[in-house]
Amino acid sequence: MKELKIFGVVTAFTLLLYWGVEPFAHSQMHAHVDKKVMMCIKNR
Amino acid sequence: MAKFEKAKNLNEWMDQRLAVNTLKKVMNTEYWIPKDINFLWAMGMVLAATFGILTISGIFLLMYYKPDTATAFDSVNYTIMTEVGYGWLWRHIHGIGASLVFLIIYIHMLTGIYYGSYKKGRELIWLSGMGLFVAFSAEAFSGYMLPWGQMSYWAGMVITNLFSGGSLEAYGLVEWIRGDYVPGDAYLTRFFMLHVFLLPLVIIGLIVLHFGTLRIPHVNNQEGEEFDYGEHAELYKAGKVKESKVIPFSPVFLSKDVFVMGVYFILFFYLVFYQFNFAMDPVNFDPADGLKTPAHIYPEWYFLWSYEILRPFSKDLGLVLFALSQVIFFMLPFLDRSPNVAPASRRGLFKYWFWLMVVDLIVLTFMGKLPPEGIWNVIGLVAALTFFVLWIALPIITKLEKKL
Repeated sequence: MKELKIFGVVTAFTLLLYWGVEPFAHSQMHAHVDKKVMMCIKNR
Repeated sequence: MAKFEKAKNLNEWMDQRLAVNTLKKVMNTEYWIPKDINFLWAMGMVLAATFGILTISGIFLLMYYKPDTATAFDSVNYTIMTEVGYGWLWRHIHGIGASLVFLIIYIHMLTGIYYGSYKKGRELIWLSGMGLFVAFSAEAFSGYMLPWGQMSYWAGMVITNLFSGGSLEAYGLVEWIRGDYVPGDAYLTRFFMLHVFLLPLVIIGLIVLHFGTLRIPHVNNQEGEEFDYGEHAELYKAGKVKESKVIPFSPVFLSKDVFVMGVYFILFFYLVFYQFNFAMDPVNFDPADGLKTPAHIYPEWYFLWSYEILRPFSKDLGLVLFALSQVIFFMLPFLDRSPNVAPASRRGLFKYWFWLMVVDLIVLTFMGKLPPEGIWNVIGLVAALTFFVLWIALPIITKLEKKL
């Protein structure tokens, strides 16, 4: 049981790490670039 | 010269000349491992296996890769990915391997920190392990240069610029490292040499040293219990397997290692075949262009935490703190003043120190990838400051710790 608990903790932290670096960071980055593109279009 | 008798078989012949039976005992059948451990103790062998896979996939990639700025990008993205049979497979194995090796290194390191496996005779295990971390970091960085895409070029530009030392403006040193004013052909070829020859050589040497440092103090166990290995080894050899607190490395411990490796390789090859994109930055699929800076420059995920320590401060302070963050983990055995070798959960304030450090490293990693603006800047600064506050607090809280 202890091993499964440890495995659960390691997996949870790994998934959290993955979520932050991949889908979450990229969603913010694209929003950032989109915002810039929209500003360029508006300024024209 | 020693007197040699006629050997009865090959094993005896080898034993007379190379003492293979003694070697087998010392390194396998009578290399004693404590029983009270969990699957986290298999991470070392998982790392060794991943390094093996990186070496093999690297050898195959080396057969078609061309270390020349004019042909490097195409040799990777065209020749290896489309023309060479299964070239894509070797590349994805190499890319996923590079990413996972760091995930396991971090799990391995944090396991050592949690269970206090770096003190009371185990200092050299930690120091040689940290040496491996630095060597693997250099190996990953030099490898990232080789596809000669936009991120290779600009990450190379940013990282080599750090050697100018901020206000010291040591551009001569930067040019010496690059072999040119900007990353170019000389730069690519020397990083190629480092990646495929010098650094792997250093890594292999350090792995041997790391294994060697384990032999005398022995592997730690889940409770940090100290016992007489010789006495328990005798119990095991006398057949009192249940009473003994140890098991031999081979075949008993190794069989569990192989099971953990099996589970790990399911994840490994799932990523290789279905999720290889996460180890391949889309920006790096544009060829290197010194006249076009990408909107976001960020390192691979495993360097993000230290990158974020560099970013929120002024140029010089950022550089000093960044340099400090790279070496501070080396100091762990000397900054931890507590005599206790025990899991963090039993060590009072250290328990909170450990989990705060884990959360802080994760927050720093997230912030390193997010665009440096608004609230992310503030969170990044707080997390970077927390990192140093934790290190300053470590000797104090461990000194206050009660002896268990």
